[in-house]
Amino acid sequence: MKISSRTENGVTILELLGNIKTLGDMEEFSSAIQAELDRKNLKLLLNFQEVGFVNSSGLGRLVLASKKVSEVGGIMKVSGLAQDLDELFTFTRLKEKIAVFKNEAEGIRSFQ
Amino acid sequence: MKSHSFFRTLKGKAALFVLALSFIGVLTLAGVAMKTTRSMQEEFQNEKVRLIDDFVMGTLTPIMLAGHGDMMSEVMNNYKGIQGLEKIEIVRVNGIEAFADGETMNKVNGILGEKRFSRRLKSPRQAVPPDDPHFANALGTGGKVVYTRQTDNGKMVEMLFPIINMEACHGCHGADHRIRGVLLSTFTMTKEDKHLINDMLLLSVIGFIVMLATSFGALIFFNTMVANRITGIIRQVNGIVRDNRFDARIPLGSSDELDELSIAFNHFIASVELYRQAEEQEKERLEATVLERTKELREKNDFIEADLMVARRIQQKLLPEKFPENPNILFHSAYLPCLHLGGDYYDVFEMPNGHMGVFIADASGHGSSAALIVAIVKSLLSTIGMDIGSPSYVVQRISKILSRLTPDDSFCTLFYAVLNTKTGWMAYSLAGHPPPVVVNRHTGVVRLLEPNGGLVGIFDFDRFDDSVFKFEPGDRLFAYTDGITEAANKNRELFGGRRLISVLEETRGLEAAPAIEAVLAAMKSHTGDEPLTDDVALLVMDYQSNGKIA
Repeated sequence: MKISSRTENGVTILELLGNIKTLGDMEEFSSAIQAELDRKNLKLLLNFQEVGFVNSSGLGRLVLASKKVSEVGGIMKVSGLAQDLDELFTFTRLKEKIAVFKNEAEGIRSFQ
Repeated sequence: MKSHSFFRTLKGKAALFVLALSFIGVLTLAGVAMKTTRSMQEEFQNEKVRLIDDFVMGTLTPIMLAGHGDMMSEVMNNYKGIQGLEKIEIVRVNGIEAFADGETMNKVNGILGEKRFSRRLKSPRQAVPPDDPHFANALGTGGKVVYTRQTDNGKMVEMLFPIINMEACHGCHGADHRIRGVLLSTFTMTKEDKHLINDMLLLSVIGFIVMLATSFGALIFFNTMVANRITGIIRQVNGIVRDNRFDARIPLGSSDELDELSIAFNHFIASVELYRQAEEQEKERLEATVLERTKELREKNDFIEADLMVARRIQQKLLPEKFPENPNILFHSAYLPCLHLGGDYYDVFEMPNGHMGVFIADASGHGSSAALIVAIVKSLLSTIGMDIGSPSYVVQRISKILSRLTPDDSFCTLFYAVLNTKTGWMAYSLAGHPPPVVVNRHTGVVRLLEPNGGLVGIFDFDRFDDSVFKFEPGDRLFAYTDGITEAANKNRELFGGRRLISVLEETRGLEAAPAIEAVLAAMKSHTGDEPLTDDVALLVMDYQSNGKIA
């Protein structure tokens, strides 16, 4: 997978492209989150618009990332979930811990 | 080499050199020949001028001084001592008296010291050309004038000697004018002179031909002795490289510099041979090492494989060998691990008071790490689940312990239900797990169980609740792990929950076992040759609907 980072209105947006499936994907994802925390970027919005699939290990990394961001006083939110992923977030109750928004603009506004 | 122009080769350069040398030689020889010819002509001319001068001053002047001027014409007409002399004549300026006796002639012969004149002749006389500049020059200066004149017969050299009326002559010729006439002498190059010059030119041409022949001889020698041998050496080196014959050597024989070149090539070829041998040995050593390592790896792999097979058999033992028998309830299942070890688990066990525990779980990841989590869950369920308590309580306990025993990002999802087999009421905890589907085999009505819990084993995400569900006669519960809904085809399209429900609706008339087979067949039909990327576990429970329904 590929991850690009940019900042808008003080919110760091991580655009994810591909699947979170292999060990390499997970390492890349975790490294990207850690890099933002190292730069003291504590308002993170993960844009899942171009993500097709997240397996259970990927879900574990996502949960772990959310916990790490919370531990340093930051907030991690998610936007642009496809229908399957949205259902996954629903029945795993991740939505109760990680705020999910329909699109990126709504996600950015939620930090204001 | 062959693609190069001929003039870039040694032969070509040598040929160019010879051509250039020949060209320079031609120019040089032509220049030398012309210069030599011109010098010879000048020398011949000067020699004749000198001879005529001597003749005029040594012979004619004494005759004239002796007062026998008329004899001069005869002397001149009969003088043959100078080759190429055309004529010597007196061009008259004023009248002259002729002497006419034999005594005078004898006097002249006495002066000359030899008898040249035998009879008296009157010499022809002519007047000075009125506008000739050379005559004007001679008459004006009174000195000798030499010049050339181009005629139809070639270049003529003419000499003018003014005849001075000296005091000794005044008796005969009077003292009123000094110059009485002009002596005109004309001569050309003789045939002998021309032959000499032609010989000189011929010699030059022969010299040029000899030089040319020598140059081309040197060229042929160079080609034979140097260029052809170098070409031969190159051909042999190329042959050795092309045919991989590094044990061959270039033959020697002439003990010259080219042999030294061949020896240098032979040394180089020998070095290459040594290097190749060393490389070959190193290659063989590496191949041997690779074979050895491969063997070690294969042995280790075989060991791991055997170990995994043992682990797999152990894991299979964790799954129920058979399901509890109950007149109202019928269970059936399938399990497809994507690796030797699976991360899915299900179980059905009897509980007190006609209750039955139904359990399906999916550990994050797959393979050995997931299998370990499954083993822990099975162990916890065996000790905790047998107690009567709400399903959420059991799941909560499992989650707390699992979060301490496993890494931060490891977890499992599960569905745990306690079913009253008599009434059809069921309490359940659906923790992060895909909602089981309930299809009524008679009516085709589809209902999904409501999720009521988060991920199991992750601190902060482990809030769980209970829900209740009432089974109707003919209901078929289909619990599964996400390995089936996330099975993808080569276009990365997932099998998905909707397709699964659709198959369940279509197969509701079948008994449980063929229904499961139909579901797996549908999944396989979707994925084609794509391998499974996650474990698949299916658990079917038919409530008061045993057998086939038409």
